[in-house]
Amino acid sequence: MAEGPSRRELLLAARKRRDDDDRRGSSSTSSTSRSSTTSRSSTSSSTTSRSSTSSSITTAAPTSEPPRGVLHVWVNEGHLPMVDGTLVYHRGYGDRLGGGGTGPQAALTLPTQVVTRAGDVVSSRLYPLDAAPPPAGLPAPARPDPEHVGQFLVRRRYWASYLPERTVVLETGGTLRIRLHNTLPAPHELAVVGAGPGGSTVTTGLVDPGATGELELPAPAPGTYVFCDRGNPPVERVLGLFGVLLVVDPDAAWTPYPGGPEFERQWVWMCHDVDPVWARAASRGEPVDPVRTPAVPRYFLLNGYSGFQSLGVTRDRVLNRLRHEDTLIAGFPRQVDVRDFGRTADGATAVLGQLLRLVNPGIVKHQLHFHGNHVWTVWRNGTLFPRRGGYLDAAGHVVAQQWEDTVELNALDRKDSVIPVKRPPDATELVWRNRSGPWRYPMHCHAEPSQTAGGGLYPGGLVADWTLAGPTEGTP
Amino acid sequence: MAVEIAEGHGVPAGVGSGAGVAERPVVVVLPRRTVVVGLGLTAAGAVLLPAAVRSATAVRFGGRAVATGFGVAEVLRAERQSRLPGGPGDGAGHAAHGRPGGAGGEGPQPVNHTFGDAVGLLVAVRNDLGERVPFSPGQLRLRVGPQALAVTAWDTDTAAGVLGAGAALEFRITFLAPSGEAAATAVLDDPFGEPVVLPLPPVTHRGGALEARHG
Repeated sequence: MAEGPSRRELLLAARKRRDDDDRRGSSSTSSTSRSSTTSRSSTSSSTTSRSSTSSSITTAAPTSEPPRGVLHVWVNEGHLPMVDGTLVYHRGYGDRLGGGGTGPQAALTLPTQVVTRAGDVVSSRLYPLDAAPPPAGLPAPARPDPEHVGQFLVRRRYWASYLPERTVVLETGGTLRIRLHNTLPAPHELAVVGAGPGGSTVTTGLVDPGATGELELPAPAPGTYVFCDRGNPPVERVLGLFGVLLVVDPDAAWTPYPGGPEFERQWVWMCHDVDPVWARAASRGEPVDPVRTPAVPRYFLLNGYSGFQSLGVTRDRVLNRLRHEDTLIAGFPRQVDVRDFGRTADGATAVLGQLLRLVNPGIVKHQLHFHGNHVWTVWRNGTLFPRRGGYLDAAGHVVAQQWEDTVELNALDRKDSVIPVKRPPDATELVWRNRSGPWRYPMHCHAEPSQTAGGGLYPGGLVADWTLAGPTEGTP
Repeated sequence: MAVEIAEGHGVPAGVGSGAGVAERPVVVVLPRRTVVVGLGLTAAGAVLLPAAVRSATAVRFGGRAVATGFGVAEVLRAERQSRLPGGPGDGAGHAAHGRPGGAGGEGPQPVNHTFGDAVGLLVAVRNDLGERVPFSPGQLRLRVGPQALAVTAWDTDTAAGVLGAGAALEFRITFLAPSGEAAATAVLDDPFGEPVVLPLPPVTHRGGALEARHG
């Protein structure tokens, strides 16, 4: 695999940087005593000036070299073009001091990061770091399934998964250390919701303008968490200050948590909603009162994109490729019963589904509807659903593993489902045997307004598709 | 001075990269879509570069320039064309793959109930601020019909990006519009100020049809 060595090089480079830092004795701040829920803020004496569309402030730059394994995050602002070309003001967590404007120079999204058990911080879209990248996001199968014509056995614990921007992977046994630099003229925070002891939230605390704050989080239980700015809820989150933390056991990297389903590869889907009225007010430094000015989102995004951009059918080939790698589900058909989490053919091959980590940092109650296959929902907000003996929780949600063709996703919900990637049940034998190419199925949200953009552009909203690979695509 | 095109960020269908724009022929042919200003003005013999950033003095603004939060904007030219054969001004005398026209005699209409005309605009903007500003052609809307419906761009030849201090930009943009109705105004959604109304110059009606085989 062409990209394998480069990822290893990334890991080695990260370790070298860490060692260099150690040799230089640059980890001065690492000697600071911190608890697991450290929250502190300090103003830097080293400053750089930066003009802002909403204000002009003096902002902080790090005063020392990064200590070992610290992820530096900047709170930035800028404008992003929506699917219809409209520029909308955003705030976001970036990996560097943003330059305002639009696009990458604004640094409004954090590139995918992996914090290893050993303490390395590695920028990588792929996890596990040493696993093979699936070509164009599509994991090639191991071999044809001898018992089922036209179907395949998949490779076990072989393929890495591309993860979208705004994702941070934290390996169990490791510690997430974040230094937050606030470049904006009002206080901001980065809080990992529900990841602390007893489900508490771990935060940098409010970081003043031009100051830095720190967060230290020993890896909590494996699963999916949201990090965000909880300020003026939900306004700062809606403006773009959010991300997703995946806590993963590197020794069981193809299983999301103990007792969970083994998967061929996984996909992270982040739902987000954009309200230009709130954004315009925020860009001017005006207060946004979510009670007096209720949110009316006009753009609905999946992993940062909407409509034809979300579907990867633009003229931008790079964007199209990225969408296929990290968002648009794809796999070769396999005869699988995901209710039993699949079956093992031998040590290296199996019949497994793919894991969907569905996360809603936005504010709209989404209903993600899949065509082609139902999905098997197994986990929600830290609770692994029982296979038998299910029940209703206090809010009336079913707490049991279940088939769903529409997955409800409330604000701040985290839910895991397994998509079988199997022959659709209504595909007759004649049709199945005469396939000549991939079959593509839509995923759309049943909250119909979220299928639009700009107040009516349809289908310009939260849409995706998934592909059941055809018999001619790299079939062994 | 140059537009610093946002790299790696998706742009609407029909929006090319800065480099791509410069390499295209003036007639930008897209699947079922054509930037009609380029088509029309080329046919009329006008010298028209593709979307381009120029020095502020190289873009000649006319008498309809309007102040914006970052400088000025103006619709320099406007053109309308039927999308389907048999529409007003087509002269083909037959309909192809369309549904019959409405009571207003506006000619055959697309079967998917989208508007039957395309309106193309040549627009110029200039950044008079002393710093870069983000700019996207998608900020422009066309208001059409008696209810002044706001219509999102159908196509444009310029990507979202950053307009440098003192730079000016010409770009082409098309909208769908109801057949037979005169487009009223264009509105620029200015992220640094209130929306700005841009008056249209006299609209040229071009003969022929934009899409011969729209289904």
